[in-house]
Amino acid sequence: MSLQGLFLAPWRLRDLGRVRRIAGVLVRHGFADVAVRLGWPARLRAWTAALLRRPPPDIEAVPIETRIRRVLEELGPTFIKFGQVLATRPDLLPMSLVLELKRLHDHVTPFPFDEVRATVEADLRRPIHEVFESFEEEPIASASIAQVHRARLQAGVGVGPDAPEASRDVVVKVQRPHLRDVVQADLRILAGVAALLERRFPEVRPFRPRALVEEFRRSLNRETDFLSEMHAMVRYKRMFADEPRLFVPEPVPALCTRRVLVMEHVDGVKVTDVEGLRRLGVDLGSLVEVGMRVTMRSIFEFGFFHADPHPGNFFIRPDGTIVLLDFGMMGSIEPERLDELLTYLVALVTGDVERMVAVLADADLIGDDTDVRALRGDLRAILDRWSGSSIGAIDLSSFLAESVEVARRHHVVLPADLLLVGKAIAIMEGIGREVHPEFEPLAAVRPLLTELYVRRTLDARRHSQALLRTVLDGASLLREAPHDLRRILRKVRRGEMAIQVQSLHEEARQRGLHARTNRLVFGFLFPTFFFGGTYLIGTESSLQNLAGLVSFGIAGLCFMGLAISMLQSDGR
Amino acid sequence: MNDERTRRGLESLVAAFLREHVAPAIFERDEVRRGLGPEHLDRVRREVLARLEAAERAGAEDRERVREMLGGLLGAAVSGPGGAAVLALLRSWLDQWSRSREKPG
Ligand SMILES: Nc1ncnc2c1ncn2[C@@H]1O[C@H](COP(=O)(O)OP(=O)(O)OP(=O)(O)O)[C@@H](O)[C@H]1O
Ligand SMILES: [Mg+2]
Repeated sequence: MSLQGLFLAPWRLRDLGRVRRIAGVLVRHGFADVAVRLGWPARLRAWTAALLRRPPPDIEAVPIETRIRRVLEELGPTFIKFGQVLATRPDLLPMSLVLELKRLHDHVTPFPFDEVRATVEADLRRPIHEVFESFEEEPIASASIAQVHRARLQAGVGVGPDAPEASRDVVVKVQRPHLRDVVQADLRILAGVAALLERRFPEVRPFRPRALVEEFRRSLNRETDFLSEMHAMVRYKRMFADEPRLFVPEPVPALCTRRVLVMEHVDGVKVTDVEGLRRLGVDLGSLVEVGMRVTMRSIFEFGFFHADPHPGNFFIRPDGTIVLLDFGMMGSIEPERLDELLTYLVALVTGDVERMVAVLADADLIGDDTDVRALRGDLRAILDRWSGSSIGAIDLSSFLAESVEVARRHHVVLPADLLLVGKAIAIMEGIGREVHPEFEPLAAVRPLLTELYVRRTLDARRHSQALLRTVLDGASLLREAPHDLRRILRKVRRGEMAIQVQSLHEEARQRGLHARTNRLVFGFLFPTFFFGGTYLIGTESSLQNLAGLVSFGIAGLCFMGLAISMLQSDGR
Repeated sequence: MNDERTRRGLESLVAAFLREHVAPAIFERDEVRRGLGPEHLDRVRREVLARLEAAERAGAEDRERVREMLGGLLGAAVSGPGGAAVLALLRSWLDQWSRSREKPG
């Protein structure tokens, strides 16, 4: 099928202006052919052709990767961000393009102070000088979404029960004017392109362009809402209250809106400024250790992590504390997934292939057509090769990437949040190696992961909360769904309850059981799965443990509940 | 039924179970030993067990409430003779189980 097939692109009327501008940018950077073929309206084509007659001088001499980057930069925030997302997908794009896209965040022109004032005054509904004693007109940083200004609060402003002792020296992050509107239009256009691609070009379907854009849309919507960024800061601060060497600036909630974020100003050296760090005289080794620990804890203890930890977002203070900035892009993982991921990674870094395969199977990630023995063999081959090299030489990110690659080859479908986690770990590793060349990522990560795994498995509060939820859910639902439960119980009785969980899930889905029943089944069986899972895999005395487990009551309650509904109907 | 004391009671029961049945197996595991090394393992073990013991103690007096809660919930959910029988069974089982937990030693 030809690209001409795209000619009928169904652009919405209100987006036409923007579409035309995009075409203009494409033409200017020597992509006139793309603009034309993407099916811009006829009038536009004429205009394009006119421009084509005087093509930009030497544009062909500039490498295509560079031109792509410039197009994205010129098209503004949505496309810059999209480029940054694509830069994290070396599995989809050629390396030369990935490297070029990684440079995307660097150059953006600041917007004028008048616009800053307008936004701040509109959102805070007061003249700027009533809130701020001083406000520097020159931004300290300017990026695709916002720019950041230093300012000083008027005495007493912003102080409230939420922020009793906020510092008066603040920075104000102000969103680019009209950003949300532009972003919305761009997202519609991107979605249009993705839908067209998917409809007309079967060969791009495996890259799931529509899903990719949809995921991107959700994360960008969150990133352009500074209230959600503020909440993320507060949450992160609370999570790491016990980590004295991590500092998160305090926001001033009374002065935060969707477009304006006010927080205390923090002094420090950028983590990329290795010279500056040396001058501070902080112990670089322990600095990297703290960074790694915080990253791992945020992912595996809290399931809520910085998904954009680029080096610009870290400051180091003279006392060796790490300041974390920019909570616009956060990743989060469901607790169930976390258990799987953590178990998998512990198995990976301790070289336990059996366990790795078992986790994949339990999470139902292994396809029917997967040759499990071959998968096991390939995983073992990677581990063997890595275990041959000295631990310091092992590159965690390639280690992860290779195991992902093996998984892909064997039709193991990996979830998207895994890629985010991988990215966060890889970036942290990169920073670590740059700051402290002797840093040994695997040696650092192995005990961290194992400790987190042990603590999570033996966390009484977490398990009892899950159990309570299960019981409360279950009790109220028992009466409503006895029929389905009975069927499920029969399956459970027939055997291997933990191992069967996923196929039950499948069956429930196929039979279109309504959501509540589904939740019940998983509410009930999840704890079983978790406990059972961690036992059944890998310990010799799993039967004995399972017996203990049943007597504990998690599984026991499931059984009782199910048995009750069974007895009732059997007696009928 | 979802109050602080019930939560503590439940946590106490769970902590006891984890400490007695789960922890030993976890700390025996090969990959846990490999991943932590002897000293680190010892420290984590001490900390984790201390935490579990503290949780056990904190809710020891509230365990009875948990039994009531579970009984009540199931009772509400169950109607008919079959249900009552199972409930009685469940109660006696819970009693037995928690008595065995409370044995000194
Ligand atoms: N609390 C603060 N104190 C001092 N400087 C700050 C503070 N917050 C932000 N900055 C400065 O502003 C820069 C940009 O902030 P931030 O990363 O939050 O904005 P952004 O628009 O998300 O930028 P980017 O897209 O480049 O990540 C930071 O790199 C830092 O130099
Ligand atoms: Mg930033």
